[in-house]
Amino acid sequence: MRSCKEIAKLLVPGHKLTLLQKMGIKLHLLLCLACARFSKQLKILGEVRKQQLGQKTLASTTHTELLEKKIIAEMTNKKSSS
Amino acid sequence: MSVQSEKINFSSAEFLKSLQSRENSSVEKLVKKYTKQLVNAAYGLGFNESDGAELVQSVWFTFFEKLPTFEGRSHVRTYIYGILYNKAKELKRDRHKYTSEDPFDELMADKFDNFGHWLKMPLSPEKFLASAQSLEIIEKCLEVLPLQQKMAFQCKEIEGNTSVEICKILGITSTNLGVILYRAKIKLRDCIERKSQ
Repeated sequence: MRSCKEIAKLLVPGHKLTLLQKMGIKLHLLLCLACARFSKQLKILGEVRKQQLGQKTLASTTHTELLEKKIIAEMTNKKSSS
Repeated sequence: MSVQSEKINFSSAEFLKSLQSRENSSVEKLVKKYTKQLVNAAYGLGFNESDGAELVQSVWFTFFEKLPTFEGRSHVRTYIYGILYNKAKELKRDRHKYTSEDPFDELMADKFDNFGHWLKMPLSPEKFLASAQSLEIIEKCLEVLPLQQKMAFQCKEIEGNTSVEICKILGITSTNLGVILYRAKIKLRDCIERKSQ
């Protein structure tokens, strides 16, 4: 079986994994609490941040709509400039 | 005006032409389609509300200014995000030099003993989540990441762009993207663990 160190290396995004490697990871994660936690943490990062930013963006909807209006007005007024 | 879900191909020659002649309805459609996303991305890169608004505005200015040279080879969205990235870089004066050494050895190797076992048990998902959910903690942790890593993280994890698109936006190869994303995630993860204690 692969060591935790090797598994952690394979969990890196961007790695092209073979089927065998994928199965190896799955099996390892079933048996090893530490690596299962590590893998879960990496997933949580993206999910949590997505939620936070969604809320933040929602909270500034009014602000954003004003910004849109301003930009549209400016961009359509400058027809002749270029 | 309202939310008609009319399908528009934003990258089509006709649409681009109508944008160039600054047709009201086309400009409006495009700006309404992407401004919110750009604001979200600006927050993701660590800009506050007013700086973010300024950034987004300058992205649109540049977009319309450069429009005559845009050939439609990539999706309009990719093009807009490329401008966003460059503008953000200017504003943050980010001079981070990308190094290509293996980030695993740099960031992870000392977390294992000679047998490849974890030296320290990673935090439980519950504890980790609680720490990550604190805006204060995550924003502090994101602050120290170079812009390139933040942008890669934002595009991939938050917006779910394809790697091809992200590489175009950042002007990098796909191997580099993997390395950059890895750095971003490991550094964030380590920082969140540290701050939860």
